[in-house]
Amino acid sequence: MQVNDIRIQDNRFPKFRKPLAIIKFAFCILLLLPHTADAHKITVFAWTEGDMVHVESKFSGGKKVRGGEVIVYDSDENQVITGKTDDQGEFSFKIVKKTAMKIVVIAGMGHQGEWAIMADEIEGAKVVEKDTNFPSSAVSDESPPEKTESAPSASLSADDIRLIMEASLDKKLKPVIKMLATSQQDHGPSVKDIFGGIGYIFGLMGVASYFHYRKKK
Amino acid sequence: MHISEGVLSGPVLISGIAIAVAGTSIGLRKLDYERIAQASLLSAAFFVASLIHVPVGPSSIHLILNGIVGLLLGWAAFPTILIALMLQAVFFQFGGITTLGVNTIIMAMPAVLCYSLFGSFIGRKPAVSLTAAFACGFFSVFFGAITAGGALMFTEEGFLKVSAMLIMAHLPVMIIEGIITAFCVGFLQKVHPVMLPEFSRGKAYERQKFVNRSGVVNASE
Repeated sequence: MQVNDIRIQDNRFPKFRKPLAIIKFAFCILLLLPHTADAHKITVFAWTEGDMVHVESKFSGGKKVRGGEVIVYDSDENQVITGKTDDQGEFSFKIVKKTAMKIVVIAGMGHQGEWAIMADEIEGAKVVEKDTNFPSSAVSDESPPEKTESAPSASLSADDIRLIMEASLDKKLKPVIKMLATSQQDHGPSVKDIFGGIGYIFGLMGVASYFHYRKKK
Repeated sequence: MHISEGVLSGPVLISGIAIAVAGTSIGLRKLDYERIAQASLLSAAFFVASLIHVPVGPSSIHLILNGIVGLLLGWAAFPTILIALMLQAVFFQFGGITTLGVNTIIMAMPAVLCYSLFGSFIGRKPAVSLTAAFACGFFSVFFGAITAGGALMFTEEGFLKVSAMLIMAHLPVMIIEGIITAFCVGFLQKVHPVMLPEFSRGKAYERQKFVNRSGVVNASE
């Protein structure tokens, strides 16, 4: 029976007489690839501006998430705010709680992405809001008591200067932050990733055939 | 079709992993060594196919190619797709490591199902063969959408609603995959028919005959 087995193995080898055809076939599939790598991971980016948090979400490749469900959790995993993204894939909300936040965007059909906002980011935002001194400052229910003290004073303290600078910096940096957001979001799978993955697959094939041929000897 | 991390509930994830492990072990047992090269090529094709993107409505969908993988590999589609999905999760962040089991089922189970449904029609008359190939590509995505709907029904609104939404969204992909599968089968039939399921069954049959014949020869010696 041993002899027979070897002969059967030999009989199978003609299967691989046409490696060229396999390579051609693989090449045909590779040709189908478009040059812009694109797919459907969701990226979420959020930044604070004054007392507002702006959320932007996209599918990787730059397509905006329209009408995606936005859920904001506080640091204790409680739902704070829910909403839907607009046609630009954006959603803005006022800060109601001074904690770190997790923003989850759900685009349906199993697609979901999230972004975390650190507590110190919001800390700054809150104080800036105090400084703007608008009559409509009834936004936050927990406005600090020092506000009424600092408002009437004519001279600017070092603290006030710092706050004004932060406010103007916020304004000036907005385009930069936006740019950062887009550069982060548009990062789809790179050629490096693609060939890395293919390399892994062929490496696994090599491992499998190594064990096969070692067993044969 | 890739389900992201954190969408599914624990029990769904765990049962997903269990079924995927079972399917993969069956697949590995059925994958003989001489087909490892073929399985790797198809795994690579599956791995990159997800980058081919079709924008539809509010979502974005991509090619899956599970139909052709299933048709050419049968049960071996399970380990093939598992490896490709794992690399997609690591490199592209499609899906995720925790949802790997569920995603494998979503794509590999329909592939095996379509293989058993349509595989026997491949290699007959050209019209029959190509229609079966188209159906295989079409329905492997269709059943995948239904499976995904089943996985999502515990966390999203209703099985029928999610499945209908997934099927609607993937309808263009189903048609494209059907055409691609038919094209591949037509191409392979001309160039390299040993890769097709009908032929390999014929091969197994021949091999069986060979064993019997040589057995007889052996006995007479």
